[in-house]
Amino acid sequence: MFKQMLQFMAQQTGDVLKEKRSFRALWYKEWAELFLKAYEPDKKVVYTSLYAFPMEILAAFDVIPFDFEIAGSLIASTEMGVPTMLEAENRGYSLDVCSFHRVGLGGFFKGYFPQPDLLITTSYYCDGKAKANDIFATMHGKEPLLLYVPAEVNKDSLSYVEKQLRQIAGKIGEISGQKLDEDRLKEAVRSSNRARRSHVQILELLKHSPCPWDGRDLIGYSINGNLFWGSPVMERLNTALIEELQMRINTGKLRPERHRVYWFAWLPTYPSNLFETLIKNQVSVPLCETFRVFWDEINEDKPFEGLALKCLKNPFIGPINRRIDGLDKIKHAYSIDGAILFATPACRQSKAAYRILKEFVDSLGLPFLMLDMDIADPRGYSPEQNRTRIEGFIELLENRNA
Amino acid sequence: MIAYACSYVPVEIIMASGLVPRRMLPEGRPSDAESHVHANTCCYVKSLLASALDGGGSPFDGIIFANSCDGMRRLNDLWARYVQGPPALFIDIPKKKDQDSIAFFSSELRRLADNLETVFRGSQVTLEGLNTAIKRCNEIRQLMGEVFRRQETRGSKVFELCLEGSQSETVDFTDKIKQFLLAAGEDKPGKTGKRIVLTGNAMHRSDLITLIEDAGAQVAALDTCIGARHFETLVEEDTADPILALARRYLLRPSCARMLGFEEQFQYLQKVYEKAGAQGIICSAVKYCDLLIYNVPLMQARFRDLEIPFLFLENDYTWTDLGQMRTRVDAFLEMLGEGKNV
Repeated sequence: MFKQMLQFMAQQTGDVLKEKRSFRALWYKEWAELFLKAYEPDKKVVYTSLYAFPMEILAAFDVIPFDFEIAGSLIASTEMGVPTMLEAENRGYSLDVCSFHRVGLGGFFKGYFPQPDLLITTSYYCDGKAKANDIFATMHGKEPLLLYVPAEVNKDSLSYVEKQLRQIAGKIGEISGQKLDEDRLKEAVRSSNRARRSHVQILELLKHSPCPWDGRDLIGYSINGNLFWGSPVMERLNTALIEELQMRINTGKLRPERHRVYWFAWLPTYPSNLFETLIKNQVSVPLCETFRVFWDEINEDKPFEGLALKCLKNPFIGPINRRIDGLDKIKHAYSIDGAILFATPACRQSKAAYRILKEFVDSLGLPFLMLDMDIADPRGYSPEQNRTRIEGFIELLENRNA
Repeated sequence: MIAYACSYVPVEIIMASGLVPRRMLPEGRPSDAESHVHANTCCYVKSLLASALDGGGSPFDGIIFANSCDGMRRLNDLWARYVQGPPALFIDIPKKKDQDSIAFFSSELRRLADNLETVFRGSQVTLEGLNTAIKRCNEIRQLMGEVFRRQETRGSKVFELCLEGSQSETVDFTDKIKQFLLAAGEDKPGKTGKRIVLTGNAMHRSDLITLIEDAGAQVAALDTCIGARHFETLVEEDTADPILALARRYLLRPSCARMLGFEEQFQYLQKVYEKAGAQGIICSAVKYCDLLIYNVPLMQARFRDLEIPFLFLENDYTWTDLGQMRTRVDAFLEMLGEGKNV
């Protein structure tokens, strides 16, 4: 069923691209086609956390990355989401387990996913993904690999992460039957640096008011767009996006905008009125925390060290203050007048200390909304309650401007 | 006195700095912290915060938090921001057991040793001091190993001893274990009751154990983070690098669910079960412990395949839902009596 969904996605986006240029269609097409390759019998498949693991390393090998969380998010965007989660729940996975992982586990039990040759994840963003990866690996009879990234950036942690990355590269080499090609890794790093530069250009364009991009796509791309780091696809996608944003700005084809909010964390994958309500009230999302560039360009002569630093500097590791570093500057640069924390129940790493985020946003004189809403499970979703909360928040934005 | 909240914190280093370690096991009052932390957070973490928000942390001169799990990491943030009281240190603990992880952990422990002196005003941690502390803790581990091996005493008494150990100085605790071993056998559990392995995470009260015993069974093994798991595996003594020896012991000892390696955790629990000659396993988890709730369904399925009965119970760390728990334990024990798998 999931494979058919990907085939449909590839077909549909391909049709759109025959008619017109579209960043969104290109992004979804590349995504669907890459995941589809994982079903080909001769391919070596590496399960990973594509939003956290340095994908540049995978790009240096002939392997296909796959992420059961991201695959689960696609399933959860359809009516198959709840029945798939029930497969996991009926086997004892409680509702306190992240719905992304329940749908991923359900997808496994239903036999939706390609067979992994290797399963790698990271110790960040959350404990849940590392545990889920461990469980998946056990069920597949494979060794689980974990990239443990310590909370502090220092010479010991840098050396530790670098060594782990080298070991993981060795494991990828074993399953792919390839030795690490240093030149290929260098090229992946070069590509990543070029994509980083275009990413910075996108960030500049997002400062434009009215905002030239849809908030839902921004957040979505900020998470699963990471799939392509180290690959020329990422560069192509960013170029297409820059052209599209630039064109919208030049032609003035922009949505009317009265408010601009900063977004913490994720978004619901099932149909909801969240963005519809924001758009209707002329609220845009010019920046989310997962789209910020927190790492420096990677030294291609020391790729493992550079990639280790990229991991260590991720703001979701270590103290929560890292997530608010620089927010005062962002407020001004992006003309932000409020912030929303999307708080899915099981994302305890993100929301347990929500009060610190809230107080910091308050100190900037901005309204803050913690939106308790599940990321993939629509069973507790109440459109009216949601609308009321968002509209209440928009009233605060209005009052602030008044 | 230096408080710590996770069994992975090497108390030997605290002792070697001339300070006294104490495990933080606050009263269960998770809801009192919910004005500061999201309600949907580990009830042990919430209770720790609640105890400190009203000055409950004040008997301590310092706190050591570990990067044990997401909840503890966020507790460290909240503590730094909202708790008026003793300073806190934070140490990282890898979730893996390989040589690089041991080497990194030892670098974290060296940093801890330095910070105990500079931040907590302890004395300088010396080679001699560390080796002495290691020997004292090893003696306790060996004696406690004897307590667990003999299984002659009621589980609730053994649990009380563990609890006492988490709050005592090592010399006092060593004497208490010796007395306990001398008296062992005077309060033997009945021979007829079903033997149960109790596994799980933080537990600060013996309610569940008493409940199991009142139902006619006995807790033959206590695989929790203040129970047997806390005392397993000795630290290598008199080495030139005792910090490295500590890092090795703490990472290589039987794992809690925070560590990578479901298979190893499953096999370890199976061994505990077999060694205890038990008839069933009860797994107790504090609500919202992601580390355990991800493990349990597969654990349950694997034990079912081996026809080993397994019951999972969650608590909110206040133990106010004992009535419901009693019903489930009674039903579980009844099924054991009938030889049914659960």
